[in-house]
Amino acid sequence: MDNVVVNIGNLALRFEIVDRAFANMVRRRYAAFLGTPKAAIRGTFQVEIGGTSGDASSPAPDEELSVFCSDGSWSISRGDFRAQWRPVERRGSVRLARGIYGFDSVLRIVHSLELAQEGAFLLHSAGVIRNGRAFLFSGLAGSGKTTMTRLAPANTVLLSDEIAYVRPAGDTYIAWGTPFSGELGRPGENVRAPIAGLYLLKHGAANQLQPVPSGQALGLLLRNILFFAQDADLVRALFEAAWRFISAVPAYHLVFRPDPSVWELFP
Amino acid sequence: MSSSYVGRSGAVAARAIDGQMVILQLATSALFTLNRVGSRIWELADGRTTVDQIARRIHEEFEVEAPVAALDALEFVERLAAQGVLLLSDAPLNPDRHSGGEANATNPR
Repeated sequence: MDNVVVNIGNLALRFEIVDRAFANMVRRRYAAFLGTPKAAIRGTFQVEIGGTSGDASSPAPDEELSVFCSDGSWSISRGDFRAQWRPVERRGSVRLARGIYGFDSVLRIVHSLELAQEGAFLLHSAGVIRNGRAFLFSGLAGSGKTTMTRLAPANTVLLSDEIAYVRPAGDTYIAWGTPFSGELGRPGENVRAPIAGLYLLKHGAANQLQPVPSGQALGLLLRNILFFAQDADLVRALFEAAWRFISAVPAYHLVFRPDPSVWELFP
Repeated sequence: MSSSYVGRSGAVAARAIDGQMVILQLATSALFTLNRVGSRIWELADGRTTVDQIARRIHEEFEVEAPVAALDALEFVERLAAQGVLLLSDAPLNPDRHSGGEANATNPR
Protein backbone atom coordinates (compact mmCIF):
# COMPACT_ATOMS: atom_id res chain seq x y z
CA MET A 1 0.00 0.00 0.00
CA ASP A 2 1.41 3.39 -1.04
CA ASN A 3 0.35 6.55 0.76
CA VAL A 4 0.42 9.69 -1.36
CA VAL A 5 -0.55 13.08 0.07
CA VAL A 6 -1.62 15.66 -2.51
CA ASN A 7 -1.70 19.16 -1.08
CA ILE A 8 -3.30 21.79 -3.34
CA GLY A 9 -4.20 25.23 -2.01
CA ASN A 10 -3.30 24.11 1.50
CA LEU A 11 -5.94 21.39 1.39
CA ALA A 12 -4.22 18.04 1.76
CA LEU A 13 -5.81 14.72 0.83
CA ARG A 14 -4.15 11.37 1.46
CA PHE A 15 -4.60 8.53 -1.01
CA GLU A 16 -4.00 4.92 -0.03
CA ILE A 17 -3.16 3.27 -3.34
CA VAL A 18 -2.71 -0.48 -3.65
CA ASP A 19 -1.34 -0.35 -7.20
CA ARG A 20 2.28 0.82 -6.97
CA ALA A 21 2.56 1.77 -10.63
CA PHE A 22 -0.49 4.01 -10.31
CA ALA A 23 0.84 5.51 -7.07
CA ASN A 24 4.03 6.43 -8.91
CA MET A 25 1.97 7.94 -11.73
CA VAL A 26 0.17 10.12 -9.15
CA ARG A 27 3.50 11.14 -7.62
CA ARG A 28 4.85 12.21 -11.01
CA ARG A 29 1.68 14.05 -12.01
CA TYR A 30 1.47 16.04 -8.76
CA ALA A 31 5.19 16.24 -8.03
CA ALA A 32 5.13 19.90 -6.97
CA PHE A 33 2.04 19.36 -4.81
CA LEU A 34 2.99 16.35 -2.73
CA GLY A 35 2.44 16.91 0.97
CA THR A 36 4.56 15.72 3.82
CA PRO A 37 3.25 13.36 6.51
CA LYS A 38 3.09 16.43 8.78
CA ALA A 39 0.56 18.19 6.56
CA ALA A 40 -2.90 18.49 8.13
CA ILE A 41 -4.91 15.90 6.23
CA ARG A 42 -8.48 16.89 5.30
CA GLY A 43 -9.40 13.36 4.30
CA THR A 44 -8.14 9.93 3.31
CA PHE A 45 -9.22 8.01 0.23
CA GLN A 46 -8.70 4.36 -0.56
CA VAL A 47 -7.91 4.04 -4.24
CA GLU A 48 -8.62 0.93 -6.31
CA ILE A 49 -7.81 0.55 -9.95
CA GLY A 50 -10.13 -1.15 -12.42
CA GLY A 51 -13.07 -3.43 -11.69
CA THR A 52 -14.46 -6.81 -12.58
CA SER A 53 -16.77 -7.33 -15.50
CA GLY A 54 -20.40 -7.28 -14.42
CA ASP A 55 -19.56 -5.69 -11.08
CA ALA A 56 -22.20 -3.02 -10.45
CA SER A 57 -19.69 -0.88 -8.59
CA SER A 58 -17.29 -0.79 -11.53
CA PRO A 59 -17.00 2.31 -13.70
CA ALA A 60 -19.38 2.12 -16.67
CA PRO A 61 -18.32 3.49 -20.06
CA ASP A 62 -20.18 6.61 -21.29
CA GLU A 63 -21.75 7.32 -17.90
CA GLU A 64 -22.14 11.06 -17.39
CA LEU A 65 -20.84 12.85 -14.33
CA SER A 66 -23.10 12.59 -11.30
CA VAL A 67 -22.45 14.27 -7.95
CA PHE A 68 -24.98 13.99 -5.16
CA CYS A 69 -25.15 13.80 -1.39
CA SER A 70 -27.19 11.30 0.57
CA ASP A 71 -27.05 10.84 4.35
CA GLY A 72 -23.90 12.92 4.58
CA SER A 73 -22.05 10.89 1.96
CA TRP A 74 -21.14 12.25 -1.47
CA SER A 75 -21.41 9.92 -4.43
CA ILE A 76 -19.32 11.02 -7.40
CA SER A 77 -19.32 8.99 -10.57
CA ARG A 78 -18.57 9.16 -14.25
CA GLY A 79 -17.73 6.63 -16.91
CA ASP A 80 -14.14 6.30 -15.74
CA PHE A 81 -14.50 6.46 -11.94
CA ARG A 82 -16.75 6.00 -8.94
CA ALA A 83 -15.99 7.74 -5.67
CA GLN A 84 -17.51 8.21 -2.24
CA TRP A 85 -16.62 11.02 0.15
CA ARG A 86 -17.86 11.17 3.74
CA PRO A 87 -16.76 14.60 5.05
CA VAL A 88 -17.71 13.97 8.68
CA GLU A 89 -15.60 10.82 8.83
CA ARG A 90 -12.97 12.37 6.55
CA ARG A 91 -12.89 9.10 4.63
CA GLY A 92 -13.56 8.24 1.05
CA SER A 93 -12.95 5.72 -1.67
CA VAL A 94 -12.18 5.91 -5.35
CA ARG A 95 -12.41 3.19 -7.95
CA LEU A 96 -11.16 4.22 -11.33
CA ALA A 97 -9.69 3.23 -14.66
CA ARG A 98 -5.92 3.29 -14.80
CA GLY A 99 -5.55 6.69 -16.46
CA ILE A 100 -4.76 9.76 -14.39
CA TYR A 101 -7.60 11.77 -15.95
CA GLY A 102 -10.30 10.29 -13.70
CA PHE A 103 -8.12 10.78 -10.62
CA ASP A 104 -7.61 14.41 -11.60
CA SER A 105 -11.39 14.85 -11.94
CA VAL A 106 -12.06 13.35 -8.50
CA LEU A 107 -9.51 15.73 -7.01
CA ARG A 108 -11.17 18.76 -8.60
CA ILE A 109 -14.64 17.70 -7.49
CA VAL A 110 -13.70 16.91 -3.89
CA HIS A 111 -11.82 20.20 -3.66
CA SER A 112 -14.82 22.11 -5.07
CA LEU A 113 -17.12 20.51 -2.47
CA GLU A 114 -14.80 21.31 0.41
CA LEU A 115 -14.02 24.86 -0.74
CA ALA A 116 -17.67 25.82 -1.15
CA GLN A 117 -18.05 25.69 2.62
CA GLU A 118 -15.09 28.01 3.16
CA GLY A 119 -16.09 30.88 0.88
CA ALA A 120 -13.47 29.65 -1.58
CA PHE A 121 -13.67 28.15 -5.05
CA LEU A 122 -11.88 26.77 -8.08
CA LEU A 123 -12.00 29.21 -10.96
CA HIS A 124 -11.79 28.28 -14.61
CA SER A 125 -8.99 30.73 -15.29
CA ALA A 126 -5.36 31.07 -16.12
CA GLY A 127 -3.32 32.65 -13.36
CA VAL A 128 0.08 34.25 -13.22
CA ILE A 129 2.02 35.99 -10.46
CA ARG A 130 3.96 39.10 -11.38
CA ASN A 131 5.73 41.33 -8.88
CA GLY A 132 4.00 39.65 -5.96
CA ARG A 133 0.46 40.00 -7.30
CA ALA A 134 -1.74 37.38 -8.93
CA PHE A 135 -3.58 38.16 -12.17
CA LEU A 136 -6.43 35.83 -13.10
CA PHE A 137 -7.58 35.54 -16.71
CA SER A 138 -10.95 33.91 -17.06
CA GLY A 139 -13.12 32.88 -19.94
CA LEU A 140 -14.56 29.93 -21.77
CA ALA A 141 -12.51 27.56 -23.91
CA GLY A 142 -10.82 29.45 -26.73
CA SER A 143 -10.96 32.83 -24.99
CA GLY A 144 -7.17 33.01 -24.64
CA LYS A 145 -6.29 31.72 -21.16
CA THR A 146 -3.42 29.57 -22.35
CA THR A 147 -2.34 32.29 -24.77
CA MET A 148 -1.99 34.78 -21.91
CA THR A 149 0.29 32.39 -20.03
CA ARG A 150 2.36 31.68 -23.16
CA LEU A 151 2.84 35.41 -23.71
CA ALA A 152 3.76 36.09 -20.08
CA PRO A 153 7.19 37.66 -19.54
CA ALA A 154 10.06 35.80 -17.91
CA ASN A 155 9.57 37.47 -14.53
CA THR A 156 6.18 35.78 -14.00
CA VAL A 157 5.27 32.57 -12.20
CA LEU A 158 2.56 30.28 -13.56
CA LEU A 159 -0.35 29.46 -11.24
CA SER A 160 -2.17 27.49 -13.94
CA ASP A 161 -3.34 27.93 -17.50
CA GLU A 162 -6.67 26.28 -16.63
CA ILE A 163 -7.82 26.40 -13.00
CA ALA A 164 -6.89 28.79 -10.21
CA TYR A 165 -7.54 28.15 -6.56
CA VAL A 166 -9.17 31.17 -4.88
CA ARG A 167 -9.38 31.63 -1.12
CA PRO A 168 -10.45 34.59 1.02
CA ALA A 169 -7.85 36.05 3.36
CA GLY A 170 -9.20 38.87 5.50
CA ASP A 171 -10.36 41.66 3.23
CA THR A 172 -8.60 40.28 0.20
CA TYR A 173 -8.29 37.09 -1.82
CA ILE A 174 -5.36 34.79 -2.44
CA ALA A 175 -4.77 32.72 -5.56
CA TRP A 176 -2.86 29.47 -5.26
CA GLY A 177 -1.21 27.53 -8.03
CA THR A 178 -2.72 24.22 -9.08
CA PRO A 179 -1.46 21.16 -10.95
CA PHE A 180 -4.46 21.36 -13.26
CA SER A 181 -3.36 22.30 -16.76
CA GLY A 182 -5.03 23.10 -20.04
CA GLU A 183 -3.48 23.33 -23.48
CA LEU A 184 -0.18 24.39 -22.00
CA GLY A 185 0.25 20.87 -20.64
CA ARG A 186 2.35 22.17 -17.77
CA PRO A 187 1.22 22.27 -14.12
CA GLY A 188 1.30 25.50 -12.18
CA GLU A 189 3.82 26.27 -9.46
CA ASN A 190 2.88 25.54 -5.86
CA VAL A 191 2.86 29.22 -4.84
CA ARG A 192 0.33 31.88 -3.86
CA ALA A 193 -0.20 35.64 -4.00
CA PRO A 194 -2.91 38.23 -3.33
CA ILE A 195 -5.18 38.70 -6.32
CA ALA A 196 -4.78 42.03 -8.13
CA GLY A 197 -7.74 41.57 -10.43
CA LEU A 198 -9.98 39.31 -12.44
CA TYR A 199 -9.66 39.79 -16.20
CA LEU A 200 -12.40 38.47 -18.46
CA LEU A 201 -10.85 37.74 -21.82
CA LYS A 202 -11.93 38.99 -25.22
CA HIS A 203 -9.89 38.96 -28.41
CA GLY A 204 -9.55 42.33 -30.13
CA ALA A 205 -7.37 44.52 -32.32
CA ALA A 206 -5.83 46.56 -29.50
CA ASN A 207 -5.01 45.94 -25.87
CA GLN A 208 -7.50 47.54 -23.52
CA LEU A 209 -8.85 47.18 -20.00
CA GLN A 210 -12.52 48.01 -19.39
CA PRO A 211 -14.00 47.87 -15.87
CA VAL A 212 -16.93 45.44 -15.65
CA PRO A 213 -20.02 46.57 -13.69
CA SER A 214 -20.28 44.45 -10.54
CA GLY A 215 -23.62 42.83 -11.40
CA GLN A 216 -22.30 41.69 -14.75
CA ALA A 217 -19.01 40.61 -13.18
CA LEU A 218 -20.86 38.43 -10.67
CA GLY A 219 -22.70 36.64 -13.46
CA LEU A 220 -19.52 36.12 -15.46
CA LEU A 221 -17.65 34.91 -12.39
CA LEU A 222 -20.37 32.39 -11.52
CA ARG A 223 -20.23 31.05 -15.07
CA ASN A 224 -16.53 30.28 -14.61
CA ILE A 225 -16.53 28.76 -11.13
CA LEU A 226 -16.11 25.00 -11.17
CA PHE A 227 -18.93 23.34 -9.35
CA PHE A 228 -20.50 20.00 -10.05
CA ALA A 229 -23.11 19.25 -7.37
CA GLN A 230 -26.82 20.00 -7.48
CA ASP A 231 -26.95 20.91 -3.82
CA ALA A 232 -28.97 24.01 -2.89
CA ASP A 233 -27.02 24.82 0.27
CA LEU A 234 -23.65 24.61 -1.44
CA VAL A 235 -24.86 26.55 -4.48
CA ARG A 236 -26.09 29.27 -2.12
CA ALA A 237 -22.72 29.28 -0.34
CA LEU A 238 -20.98 29.57 -3.70
CA PHE A 239 -23.16 32.49 -4.73
CA GLU A 240 -22.30 34.29 -1.50
CA ALA A 241 -18.60 33.53 -2.01
CA ALA A 242 -18.75 34.91 -5.56
CA TRP A 243 -20.53 38.06 -4.37
CA ARG A 244 -17.89 38.67 -1.69
CA PHE A 245 -15.13 38.13 -4.22
CA ILE A 246 -16.63 40.62 -6.68
CA SER A 247 -17.08 43.09 -3.82
CA ALA A 248 -13.38 42.85 -2.96
CA VAL A 249 -11.55 42.28 -6.25
CA PRO A 250 -11.79 44.53 -9.32
CA ALA A 251 -13.01 42.89 -12.52
CA TYR A 252 -12.18 44.01 -16.05
CA HIS A 253 -12.80 42.97 -19.59
CA LEU A 254 -9.38 42.45 -21.11
CA VAL A 255 -9.54 43.02 -24.84
CA PHE A 256 -6.20 41.86 -26.15
CA ARG A 257 -4.12 41.29 -29.21
CA PRO A 258 -2.30 37.97 -28.88
CA ASP A 259 1.24 39.30 -28.66
CA PRO A 260 3.53 40.06 -25.69
CA SER A 261 2.57 43.75 -25.62
CA VAL A 262 -0.59 42.83 -23.68
CA TRP A 263 1.58 42.32 -20.61
CA GLU A 264 2.42 46.04 -20.58
CA LEU A 265 -1.02 46.41 -18.95
CA PHE A 266 0.17 44.35 -15.97
CA PRO A 267 3.33 45.97 -14.60
CA MET B 1 -53.93 37.67 -11.42
CA SER B 2 -53.33 41.37 -10.70
CA SER B 3 -54.86 40.96 -7.26
CA SER B 4 -52.48 38.13 -6.45
CA TYR B 5 -49.95 38.56 -3.68
CA VAL B 6 -46.31 38.41 -4.67
CA GLY B 7 -43.54 36.91 -2.56
CA ARG B 8 -39.91 36.00 -3.00
CA SER B 9 -39.06 32.34 -3.34
CA GLY B 10 -36.82 30.78 -0.70
CA ALA B 11 -35.24 28.65 -3.43
CA VAL B 12 -33.00 31.46 -4.64
CA ALA B 13 -29.96 33.38 -3.49
CA ALA B 14 -30.01 37.11 -4.12
CA ARG B 15 -27.73 40.07 -3.62
CA ALA B 16 -27.87 43.73 -4.50
CA ILE B 17 -24.88 45.06 -6.40
CA ASP B 18 -24.67 48.68 -7.49
CA GLY B 19 -28.45 49.03 -7.12
CA GLN B 20 -29.25 45.93 -9.15
CA MET B 21 -30.51 42.65 -7.79
CA VAL B 22 -28.65 39.58 -8.96
CA ILE B 23 -30.62 36.41 -8.29
CA LEU B 24 -29.54 32.79 -8.61
CA GLN B 25 -32.16 30.07 -8.89
CA LEU B 26 -30.58 27.35 -6.76
CA ALA B 27 -32.15 24.33 -8.45
CA THR B 28 -31.39 25.34 -12.02
CA SER B 29 -28.43 27.71 -11.45
CA ALA B 30 -30.22 30.20 -13.74
CA LEU B 31 -29.00 33.72 -13.05
CA PHE B 32 -31.18 36.82 -13.25
CA THR B 33 -29.87 40.37 -13.19
CA LEU B 34 -32.71 42.83 -12.62
CA ASN B 35 -32.76 46.43 -13.79
CA ARG B 36 -33.78 49.24 -11.44
CA VAL B 37 -37.50 48.70 -11.89
CA GLY B 38 -37.19 44.93 -11.62
CA SER B 39 -35.06 45.31 -8.51
CA ARG B 40 -37.72 47.56 -6.96
CA ILE B 41 -40.42 44.99 -7.75
CA TRP B 42 -38.29 42.33 -6.09
CA GLU B 43 -37.96 44.54 -3.03
CA LEU B 44 -41.72 45.13 -2.91
CA ALA B 45 -42.53 41.43 -3.26
CA ASP B 46 -42.90 40.84 0.47
CA GLY B 47 -45.77 38.37 0.28
CA ARG B 48 -48.25 40.97 1.58
CA THR B 49 -48.32 43.23 -1.48
CA THR B 50 -50.38 42.51 -4.59
CA VAL B 51 -49.35 42.91 -8.21
CA ASP B 52 -51.73 45.90 -8.48
CA GLN B 53 -50.16 47.61 -5.48
CA ILE B 54 -46.68 47.00 -6.86
CA ALA B 55 -47.72 48.45 -10.23
CA ARG B 56 -49.02 51.60 -8.48
CA ARG B 57 -45.68 52.06 -6.71
CA ILE B 58 -43.82 51.64 -9.98
CA HIS B 59 -46.11 54.21 -11.61
CA GLU B 60 -45.45 56.67 -8.78
CA GLU B 61 -41.73 56.11 -8.35
CA PHE B 62 -40.57 55.73 -11.95
CA GLU B 63 -42.89 58.11 -13.83
CA VAL B 64 -44.30 55.26 -15.88
CA GLU B 65 -47.86 55.60 -17.23
CA ALA B 66 -50.23 53.62 -14.98
CA PRO B 67 -51.49 51.20 -17.68
CA VAL B 68 -47.94 50.54 -18.81
CA ALA B 69 -46.77 49.97 -15.23
CA ALA B 70 -49.68 47.56 -14.63
CA LEU B 71 -48.89 45.52 -17.75
CA ASP B 72 -45.14 45.53 -17.18
CA ALA B 73 -45.42 44.58 -13.50
CA LEU B 74 -47.78 41.72 -14.27
CA GLU B 75 -45.62 40.41 -17.08
CA PHE B 76 -42.50 40.68 -14.91
CA VAL B 77 -43.90 38.82 -11.90
CA GLU B 78 -45.45 36.12 -14.08
CA ARG B 79 -42.15 35.60 -15.87
CA LEU B 80 -40.18 35.31 -12.63
CA ALA B 81 -42.87 33.17 -11.03
CA ALA B 82 -42.60 30.76 -13.97
CA GLN B 83 -38.88 30.51 -13.18
CA GLY B 84 -39.49 29.83 -9.48
CA VAL B 85 -37.96 33.14 -8.45
CA LEU B 86 -41.18 34.86 -7.34
CA LEU B 87 -44.31 33.31 -5.85
CA LEU B 88 -47.91 34.29 -6.66
CA SER B 89 -50.76 33.51 -4.30
CA ASP B 90 -54.41 34.36 -3.81
CA ALA B 91 -53.72 34.84 -0.09
CA PRO B 92 -50.91 36.75 1.62
CA LEU B 93 -47.72 34.74 1.87
CA ASN B 94 -45.92 34.20 5.14
CA PRO B 95 -42.59 35.98 4.66
CA ASP B 96 -40.88 33.66 7.13
CA ARG B 97 -41.85 30.65 5.08
CA HIS B 98 -41.52 31.95 1.59
CA SER B 99 -39.13 34.84 1.48
CA GLY B 100 -35.59 33.84 1.87
CA GLY B 101 -32.29 33.46 0.15
CA GLU B 102 -31.66 37.15 0.42
CA ALA B 103 -29.12 38.24 2.90
CA ASN B 104 -29.19 41.83 4.06
CA ALA B 105 -28.21 43.02 0.69
CA THR B 106 -25.82 45.87 0.39
CA ASN B 107 -22.61 46.07 -1.53
CA PRO B 108 -19.70 46.69 0.86
CA ARG B 109 -17.56 48.21 -1.87
